[in-house]
Amino acid sequence: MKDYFRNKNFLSGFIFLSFIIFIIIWGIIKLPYEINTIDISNKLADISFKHLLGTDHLGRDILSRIMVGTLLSVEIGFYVVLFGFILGTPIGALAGYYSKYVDEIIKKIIDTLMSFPGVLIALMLIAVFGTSAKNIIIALTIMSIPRFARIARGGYYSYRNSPFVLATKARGASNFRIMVIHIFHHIYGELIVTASLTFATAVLSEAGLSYLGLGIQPPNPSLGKMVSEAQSYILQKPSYVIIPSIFIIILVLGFNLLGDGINKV
Amino acid sequence: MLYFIKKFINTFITILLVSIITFYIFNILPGDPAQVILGLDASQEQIAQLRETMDLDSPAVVRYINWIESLLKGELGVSYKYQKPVAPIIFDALVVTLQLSIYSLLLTLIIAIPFGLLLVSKRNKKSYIPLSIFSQIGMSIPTFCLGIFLIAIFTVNLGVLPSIGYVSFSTNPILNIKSLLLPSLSIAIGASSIVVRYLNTSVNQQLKMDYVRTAYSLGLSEKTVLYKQVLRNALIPVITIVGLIVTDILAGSIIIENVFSLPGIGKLITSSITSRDLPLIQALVLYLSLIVILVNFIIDILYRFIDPRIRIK
Repeated sequence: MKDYFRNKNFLSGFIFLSFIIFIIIWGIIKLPYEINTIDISNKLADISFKHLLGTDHLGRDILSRIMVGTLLSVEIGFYVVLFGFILGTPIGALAGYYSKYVDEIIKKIIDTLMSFPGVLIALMLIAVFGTSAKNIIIALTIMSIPRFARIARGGYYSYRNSPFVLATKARGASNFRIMVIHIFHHIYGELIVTASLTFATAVLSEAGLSYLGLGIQPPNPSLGKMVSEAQSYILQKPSYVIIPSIFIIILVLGFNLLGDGINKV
Repeated sequence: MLYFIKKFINTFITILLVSIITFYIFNILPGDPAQVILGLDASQEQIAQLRETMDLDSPAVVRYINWIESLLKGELGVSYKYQKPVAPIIFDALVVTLQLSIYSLLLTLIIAIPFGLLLVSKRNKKSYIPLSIFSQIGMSIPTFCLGIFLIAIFTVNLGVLPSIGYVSFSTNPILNIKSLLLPSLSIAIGASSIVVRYLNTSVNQQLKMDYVRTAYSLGLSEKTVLYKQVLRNALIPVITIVGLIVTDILAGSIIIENVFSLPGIGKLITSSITSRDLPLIQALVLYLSLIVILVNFIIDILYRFIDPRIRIK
């Protein structure tokens, strides 16, 4: 663990994400204001002790909305990574371990899916099934499955004939046991790196979709949507645009740095 | 030659797969597709008529074959919203998006190559860390935030570049470049960070090779080793990610066209989703996919010409 904290990337990623977790927990314990209370007389208020990050164009407290929006982004990222891992890893593992024709077919599908812009797949699904948090998670999961599958395939492929696997086989371990316990032990590090980077991509994609109005629907706060609402007030109150942008950047940067750090260590 | 045939068959299969997916996804709409498209207050006759035009009563395989047949003839269906054939609408938008993509790709290379070289030459110095942080941040900023910040700086504060509107190249080349400069810059900053990162990893990998040690022991200077030998080998894998970058640029343009109100594919796709114009979305997705597949095909072929080792394998 000490090694990790000595790595500058890991450390800075850890600090960024700790800040995000702090904001989320603060929001869960007590939101400063109700997120949808409109107070027109107090619109676009400046940063003050009453409203720590000011208010938006409808007089809603920005900090409270950021807290809920950040939580939502993290939740979506979490589910995307979780389902991507659960579905992608076994697919890649089977392809890599058993190889042959199955591998050829799965490799082809992974390559095809990887070469597509994730946003395009997401847009297609949203066009068909409509906008909702659930559909965004489904769409982004489809994008994340090949990432996990590719890493797992590579790992299982390179270890399947290694001495320790053959030795375990000779001792009578089943293929299932070798795959789940022995080889997995060697590649979970790489999978964690993938999880971290996929988390960052998922947050970015969700923000992009919400910005386009195809993600989380108002009045629910989402960081991407907040940026698009704030866009027209950039002259009057630049901080309104900058604050949600900074939160997206911290979140994405945090996971990117964390993944990089783990990778290097 | 065998390689080309194999690659060609592979690409063909991919296109076939993509077309099947795009077709079926739009046919698994929950409930009656005609009902979904027309909305809840459509009359029974309207629904029946739409079912007729969409040929919903024949089996899916027949409809798929019909769809492919009309695609090959260049008929992509009629847009519900515009009540016009889809093909010319897409063509007009495609021209804008292609220009945006080309400018973005050029800018990406213009930014990434010098910056990447700078990073490589400073790899043992103190200034390396701020430079690498810079590229990390570039990768983490959403394109739309960058777009908005650039509008704030260049349009609102400096007043030098327009923030909305598109001028075609044939009307006025200078205004055309001006109108697409900010959007392409927003895309290029993110994309070039990825290239820089990749170049950096690639150079670091090459530096561990035996030939580098030999070159140093022969008494060659750091500069000669780095620029004459390492870089040449390090640039080869970087070319492969140009394919990846093109995908990124296309994804970025979908969002950035909405920030700058450019009448391209991205703007068209989002507006057709809002108006549930399914034939248009279907055709757009298929077109964009085809572009991505073709670019990857071309890069695979190019890669083979650049690196003779692959040819031998």
